Amino acid sequence: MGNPLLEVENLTMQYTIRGGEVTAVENVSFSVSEGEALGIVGESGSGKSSMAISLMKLLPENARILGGKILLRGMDLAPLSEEEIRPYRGRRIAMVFQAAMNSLDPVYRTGDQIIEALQNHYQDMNHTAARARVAELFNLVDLDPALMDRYPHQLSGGMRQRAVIAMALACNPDIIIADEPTTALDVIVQDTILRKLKQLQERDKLGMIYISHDIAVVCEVSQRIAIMYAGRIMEIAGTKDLFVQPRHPYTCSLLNAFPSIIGPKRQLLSLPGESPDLLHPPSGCRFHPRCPRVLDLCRREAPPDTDYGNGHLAACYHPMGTDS
Amino acid sequence: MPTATASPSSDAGQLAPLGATALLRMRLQAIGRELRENWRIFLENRIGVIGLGIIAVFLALAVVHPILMATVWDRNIYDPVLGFDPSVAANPAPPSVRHPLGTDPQGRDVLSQLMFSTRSEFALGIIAALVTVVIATTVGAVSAYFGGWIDALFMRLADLIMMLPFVSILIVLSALFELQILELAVLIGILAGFGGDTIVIKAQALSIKVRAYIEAARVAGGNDLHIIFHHIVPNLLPISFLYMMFTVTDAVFSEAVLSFFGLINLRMSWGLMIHLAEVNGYLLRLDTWWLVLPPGLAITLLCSSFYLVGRALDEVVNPRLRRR
Amino acid sequence: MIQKDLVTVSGLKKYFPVEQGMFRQTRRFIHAVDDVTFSIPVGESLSLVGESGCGKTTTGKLLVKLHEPTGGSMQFDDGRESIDLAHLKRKAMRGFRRKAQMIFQDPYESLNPRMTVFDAIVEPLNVQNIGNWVERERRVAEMLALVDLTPPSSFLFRFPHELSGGQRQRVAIARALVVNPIFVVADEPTSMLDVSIRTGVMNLMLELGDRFNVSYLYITHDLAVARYMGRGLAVMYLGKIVEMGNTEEVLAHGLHPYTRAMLSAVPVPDPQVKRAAARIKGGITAPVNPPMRCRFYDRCPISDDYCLHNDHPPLEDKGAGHFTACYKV
Repeated sequence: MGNPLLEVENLTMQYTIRGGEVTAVENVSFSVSEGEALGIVGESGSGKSSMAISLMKLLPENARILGGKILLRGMDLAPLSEEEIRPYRGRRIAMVFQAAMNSLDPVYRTGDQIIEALQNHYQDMNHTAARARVAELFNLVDLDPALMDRYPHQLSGGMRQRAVIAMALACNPDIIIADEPTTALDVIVQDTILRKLKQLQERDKLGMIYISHDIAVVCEVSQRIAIMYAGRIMEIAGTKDLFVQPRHPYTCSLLNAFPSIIGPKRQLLSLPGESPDLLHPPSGCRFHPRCPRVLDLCRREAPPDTDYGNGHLAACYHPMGTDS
Repeated sequence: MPTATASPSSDAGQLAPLGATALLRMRLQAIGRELRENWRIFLENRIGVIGLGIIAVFLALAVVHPILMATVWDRNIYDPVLGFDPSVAANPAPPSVRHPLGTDPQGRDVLSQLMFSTRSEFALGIIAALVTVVIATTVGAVSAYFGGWIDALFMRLADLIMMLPFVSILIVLSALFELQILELAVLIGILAGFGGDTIVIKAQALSIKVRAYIEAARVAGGNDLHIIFHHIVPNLLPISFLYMMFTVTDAVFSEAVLSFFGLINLRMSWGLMIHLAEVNGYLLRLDTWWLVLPPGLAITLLCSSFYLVGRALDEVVNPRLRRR
Repeated sequence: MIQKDLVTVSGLKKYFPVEQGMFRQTRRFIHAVDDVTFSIPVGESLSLVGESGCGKTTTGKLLVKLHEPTGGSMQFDDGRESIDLAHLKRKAMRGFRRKAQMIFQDPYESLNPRMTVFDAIVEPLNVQNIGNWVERERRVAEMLALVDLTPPSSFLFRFPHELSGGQRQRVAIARALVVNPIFVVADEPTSMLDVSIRTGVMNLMLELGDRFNVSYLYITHDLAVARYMGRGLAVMYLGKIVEMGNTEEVLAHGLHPYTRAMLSAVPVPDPQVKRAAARIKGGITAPVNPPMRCRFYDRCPISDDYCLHNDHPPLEDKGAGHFTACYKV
C-alpha cells in the first residue's frame, strides 16, 4: 500500500433544518492510500453521502463543517473557501455521482460537458485538444467516441454512467469518490461498470472511496470497508477481516441481513426497530436501541474505537467474539 | 379503555374493539394534528398572515355594521341606501366626526355604505368560489379519470369559455338578465368552474391518476366512482382550495367592473359606489377623494388579501415551494 | 405427484401501443409480455426475476386484472371454483378481488397520503362489503398486530407520512392480506427499503404466507432476494420467460446464457469468491415490434445462424421441471 493520500480526521458536519440541527457526520476519521479503494457502507441517513459532499466541500447552504481535517497529501481542505477549493475539486478529487441524478445536464451534449470541465482546469487547452481528450476518455470507459455528440437522454443508463466516470477521470484526479454509481442500473450493466471502475482505479493507482448501501457491491471493489451508522463509523477493517471476523454487532446484523445466491440457503436475521431519528439521536452508542448485545454502558456513553490490529477498528463496548 | 396501551405481546385475537366513539375521537385527533401542522407552515409565511389579517379586518367591518345600525347609528341618517343627514349643508361632504368617510352626492354615509357592502362582497366571493370548486374538482377528476370523449367534451367547453373574455360574457349576460348578487355569484362560479380552473385541476388529477395508490384501490375492489371520490378528489382538494382563493379575487373584481358600468342591479356595493361617483361627475376629482378612494381601496385590498392567502396556501400544498 | 395449480398462465400476451405521429396512428407495439406460460402450485411461491423493462411487473398486473391481456389464457383455481381470468365478468371480479391481492413496490406511492392507516386497511373490507363495522375494526387491529405494528391503536390513525418506509410496507401487506387472499402478487416490495428493514419485511411475508397458505408471485430484479422468497424461479427477458424451474436448481445449474450472465454478474458478499465476468454485452432495449428470432440473439455469446433464422426458441423441459428457451443448451 502506498503513502496516505487522503486523511480525514474527526470530521463533523451538520445540517440546519426545520426543527433543529442534524449532525449527519460525527467525528469521522479514516484514511485512503494511493491505489487503495475504501468502501463505505451505510443505510439511508447514515451520513455516507453527506460525508462525500463534505470531502468535496460541495455543501448545500444549510450545511456546514463544524470541525475536523480533510488532508489531501497533507494539505488541509477543510478551512479552504469556495474560491480556494475550486482548483482541487475535479482536478485532484473527483466525484462520480449516480448518473440518473443530475450530474449530466440534459440540455448540453455529453461530450461538451466534459470539454467544459477540462477547459475550466486547463485554460490553455484548445477545443480540438479537448475533443481528442474526451475521445480518449470515452475509449477508456468503453464508450464509442461518436457518442460524445449525443445528448444525455439519447444514451442508456449504463452509457450515461460510463460518461460520468469519463468526466470524473478527465483531469487525472488523485482520488475518486463514487457515490452509489451503479444503484439504478441493472445487474449485468452494474457488473461491467464496477469492473471498469476497478480496472481504471488499479491501473492508475488512484485512491477511491466507494459509497453504497449494498455491502455485496462494496465487497467487490474495496480493499477496506467502513461501516457507517447514524453519522458515525461503527467499524472499519480490511474487507476480508470484516467478513471473517466482524466485531460490531451492527456489521454482523448487516452481514446476516443480506441474501446471497451462493452457498446454502440460510435464514436471514432481521434487525428490530427503525432507522435512528437524527434530530433526536439516541444517547451513547447510536446503535444501542437496536443492538442485540446492548450493555448499560452503551446507553450512557459513546464507545471509543478499539484496535483489533491490522487497521481493524470497531466502536463497541461489547463486540462480537468476546463473550465469556 | 385498556386496549389503548395494549402490550406488544398481546395476542391479535384478543384485541377488544375500541368502539365507534373512540375511533371517531382518534380520527379527529389525527385530522387536528394535520391541520395544526399545516397551520404552522402557513404561519411561517408572512404574506399569508398579512392576507389573513386583511380578511379579518373586513370580516370585522361586515359584522360590526348591523350592530352599529342597531345601536349607535340612526337608521334615518346612516342607512347605506336610504339614509340622509339633514344637518349636512352640502353633499357630498368631506369626512367629519359624524361621517368619518364623508357623505356621497345623495347625502348618505360613505363608511356605512362601505361596511354594508363588505357582507355582500364576501357572500359573492365565497359562493362563487364554492360553486367553482365543486364544479372544477368534479369535472377535472372525471375528465382525467375517464379520458376519451368525456374529457374531450369538457376540455373543449373549457377552451370555449377561456377564449371568451370573462368580463364581457358577464356584461352580455347581465344585459340580458337582471342579476342579483346570488345569481352573479353562481354565474361567476360556473364560468370559472368549467373554464380555466378545470384545466388546471384536471392536470393535477392526471398526475394523481397514475399514482400507485389508485391501482392499489382497484386491486382492493374499488369501482370507478369509489376511486374518483375517495382517492382522486380528496387529493385534489388542496389545489382546489387554492384556486378557490383566486376565484374569490376574480368574483369581487368582476362585480366591481359590472357595477362600475351599471350593469347589475344591486342595492349597494363597492363597484356601485364608484359608479355613483362617476355618474355624478366626481370620478376624476381629487377634492372629492372620499367618494372613490375608500371603495377602490377596499376592492384592491380584499382581492389582494385572498390572493396572498392563496399564495401562502400554495406553499402548504406544494412542499417544493417551501423554504428549508 | 399430483399437485393442483393455483394459477395457470398460458400464452399470455400484453402489447402496449406506442403512440406517434400527429394523427395518433398506432402501428408500433411494445411487446411487454409475449407468449408467457407458467403455473404456480397451490401454497407455493414463484419468484419472477428480470431486469427493468423485461415485463415482469406487467405480468403481475395482468394476473390481478390491472391490465387486460392482449391474448392468451389465465386460469385461477383455488380448489373451490375455477375462474377464467382472461374473460372475467364485472360481477365475478368482486369474488376474485377477495382471493388475489397485490403489494406494490413503492410504499410511499401505494398508500393514499390522505388516508390514515385504518382507512387504508379497512378499504378492501368496505368496498367489498365484508363484515359489519365492529368486525371490520377488529380485523384491522388484528392485521396491524400480525404485521408487528403494535400496539395497533397507536398506528390506526397515523397518516402515511408519519410512518417510516418499513412501517408503510407493513401497512401495505396488512391491507393486501386483510381479505384473506390465497394469491398475492408482490412487486418488488422491499427494493425501496434499507437492508436492515428489508429483511424484516421479507421474513414477515414468508411467515404470513406460510401461516395463511398464501402463494406469492414475487417480482424482483435481485436474484438473491428471489432465491429467498420463492421455491420456484422464472427468469424473464424482454417479455419472454427464458428459464424456469426449482429455484435452487436454476441457480446451481443455470442453462440459458442470459441466466448464466445474470448469475455471474450478481455481486457476492464474500471476499473469498471471485466471479468470472459476464460474457454478454450491451443493455436491454425496449421490445417495440421485436423480430421473430430469439429475443436474446443480439447479446448472446453463443448464438449462431440457426438462432438468427428461427423463431424465438420454445420453453422446453430439460429434465426435472427445469425449463429453458434456448436452442444451444
